Amino acid sequence: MTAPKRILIVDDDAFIRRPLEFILREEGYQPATAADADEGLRAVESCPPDLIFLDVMMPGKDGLTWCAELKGDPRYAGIPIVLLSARGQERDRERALSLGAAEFLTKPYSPHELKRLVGELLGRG
Amino acid sequence: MAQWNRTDRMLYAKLVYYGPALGGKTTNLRVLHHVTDPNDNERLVSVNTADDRTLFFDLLPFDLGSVLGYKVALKLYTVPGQVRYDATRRIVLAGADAVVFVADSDPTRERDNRQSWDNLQKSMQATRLDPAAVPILVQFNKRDLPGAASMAAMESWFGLASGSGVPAVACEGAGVLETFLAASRLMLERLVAIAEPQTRRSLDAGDLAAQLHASFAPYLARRAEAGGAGVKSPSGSAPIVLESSDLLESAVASSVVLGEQLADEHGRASRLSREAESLRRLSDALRTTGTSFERTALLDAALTAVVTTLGAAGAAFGTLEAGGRVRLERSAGRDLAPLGDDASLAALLERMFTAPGPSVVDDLKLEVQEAVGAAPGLRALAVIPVEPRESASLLVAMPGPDGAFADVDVRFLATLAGHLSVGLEKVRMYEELRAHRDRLEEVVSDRTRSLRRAYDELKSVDAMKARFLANVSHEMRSPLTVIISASTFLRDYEGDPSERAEMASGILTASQSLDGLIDGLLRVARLDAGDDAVLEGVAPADIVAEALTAAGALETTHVVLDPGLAPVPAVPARLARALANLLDNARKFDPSTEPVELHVAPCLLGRPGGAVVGVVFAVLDRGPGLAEGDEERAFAPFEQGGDPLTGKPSGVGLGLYEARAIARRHGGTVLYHPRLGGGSEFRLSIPVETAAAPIVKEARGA
Repeated sequence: MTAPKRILIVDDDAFIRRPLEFILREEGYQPATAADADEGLRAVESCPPDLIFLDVMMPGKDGLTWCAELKGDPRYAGIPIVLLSARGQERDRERALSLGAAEFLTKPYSPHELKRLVGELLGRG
Repeated sequence: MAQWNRTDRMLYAKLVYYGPALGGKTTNLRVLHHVTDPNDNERLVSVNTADDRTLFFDLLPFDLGSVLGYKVALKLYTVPGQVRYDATRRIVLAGADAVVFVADSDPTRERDNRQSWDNLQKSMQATRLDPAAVPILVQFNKRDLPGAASMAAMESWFGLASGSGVPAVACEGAGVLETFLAASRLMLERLVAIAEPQTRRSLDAGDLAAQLHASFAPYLARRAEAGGAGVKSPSGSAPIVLESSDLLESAVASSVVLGEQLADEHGRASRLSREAESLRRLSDALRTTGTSFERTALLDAALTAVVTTLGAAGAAFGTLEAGGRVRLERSAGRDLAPLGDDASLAALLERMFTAPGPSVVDDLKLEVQEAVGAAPGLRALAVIPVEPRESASLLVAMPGPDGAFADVDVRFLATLAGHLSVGLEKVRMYEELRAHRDRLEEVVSDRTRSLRRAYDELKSVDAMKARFLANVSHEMRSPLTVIISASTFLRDYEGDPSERAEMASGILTASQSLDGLIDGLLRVARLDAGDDAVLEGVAPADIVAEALTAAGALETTHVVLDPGLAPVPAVPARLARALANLLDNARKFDPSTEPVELHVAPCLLGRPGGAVVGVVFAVLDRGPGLAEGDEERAFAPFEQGGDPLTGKPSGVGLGLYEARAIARRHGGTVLYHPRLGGGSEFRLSIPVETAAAPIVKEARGA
């Protein structure tokens, strides 16, 4: 049995972070959390995750900006990023994908859809 | 005037013998009568005047036989030579086809000759005989007088070409026939030349001189028979003498009157035709102004018509101003404005301008003796009302010394004034129409502007609605995400009890957040719909208490309440909500631990009619304040300031919008001022008196 896949959840809202964290843990992943980009970067540097869930609208550096930075860094460019946004406009979605995001999900998302997406991205049924 | 009768092939013509008294005119006619009518078939008629001078009024039908294919019947006249019979001379001369001027060769009579010659010219002018069309033959009579003036000298008296005069001794019969023959030839030549084309075609012109000679041959032969010494005159045929000279004179006089009347008629006719021409020109001008509607062009056309038609010195259009001064607007010919500079002339003008109808002064000198120097060369004035209501009239001046206004002139001016009045009315109507059109254009462009504004407002309302929906949906998405994920976890997984409690707590918080959102939306919906809540007097302290409670800001707010504030007209719950929104914002955006301050005090509110007394609720914080330029935007609906702690927008962005809208319903407003030393000061002020109805519907945008 291989080591569980690491998933980093970055969102400033704890009420949003926590249910996601619990569900992913229950599904056998190893979730970590961060409240903003700075915290997230420290987490990535100390232990690069296999997947990142990233909130778009955050205090400090917003999700899109940080996503672009990670994709520009050869060390982390390969980590798939799923952007989460309360704003569901097509324009935002296109921008996210053009920045290299693997997927753009509009809140509120269904946890089951999220599980399926994780499975796809991490190569597990 | 010669008459060609083509049916009878007769030519009737008139030959007049003119000249100084006792120059031999009558003698000429007697000789001719004797020669051409030896049997005295036609009687020579003469009239003796009251004095012993002789006035001949001769009539001699004279058959020239067949000339030009026509039989020529001549009537021969002499005129009285005495200076004072001018009128009679003119009547006799009227219509002459040729004139024989019998000059006296007596050198002492040079002056009489010259005078008579001048008189002939004047009489021809007066009787409208064209010197170019009526030939004059001069006979130098009494050549047998000892010391007779030389022919050359006599020619110079009359400015004649050398050799053009015919010498004669009429009492001997010498030169009489020659004179007559030469005059007839000149006359016939002229008559042929000016005959109408259809008459000329019927003329057997040929050699006129030869025809005349042939015609005269018998008479010339008769004179030759008489022995070359000429025909003595008068022989057997005494003229008919009418002793009753009164009768004749009255006949002559009535002829004179008739003739003058005829001349008058002629003058009147030509004057009427001039007037008609003027009116036609004016009506042309009216037609022209009918398309251009130029007041000045119309006035100029009318004034020019007046001057040219009447031969006026000057004409002007003016109005009588308050104070009695005449102001001339346009003029033609001589400038009449200086008339007003003289006091008595100005007074005269004022009288004439105020007269209800046409007003004429025939002799300025008689009217305003002392002022005549101010109107040099002017004789008569007329003022014809054009627009009585405006005291607008035509002012016309006739030149001296003989200028005058005849009745027909005044009638003409009145007609013209009528035309002018109609024209001016047209101009005025046109100007009104044009002004109306301009006003309409203004109104249309005003309406267009307001429509454009309304459209822009609607567009901005649309944009606001779109932004609102985006904001609302965003505000709902986060709590919904929490509720869905947390409840999914609770349903599908065990977790431990503390995790389950955390999830439940998250669901509750998110639900409360949604509830608050819905509450805000409902309030906004109410605001936008408007309502008819009744204002009641309420103490400011009560408003403050309710607002602090609603905002949950009792502990964190420092209140400074001016004592003795009168109750304000308000809907208490609404006004408290507005104040609570301000307190809420202050607390939300103030990161300091300093309490938010609330000051309540009397104030003055600026109004168009002057300031009114009110009460101000000022909320002061130490937050970041509004950026310059954002002060008004902050009051727009759905505009949100970012949460200074999270950077996230908080609330639906309706707090300030709602607060201001409520304040305005109370006749007041909410304004932002940067607070001294950093922070914000939001001042909610409402009037104490609500004389002016509160603004019920908020005007947006603009």
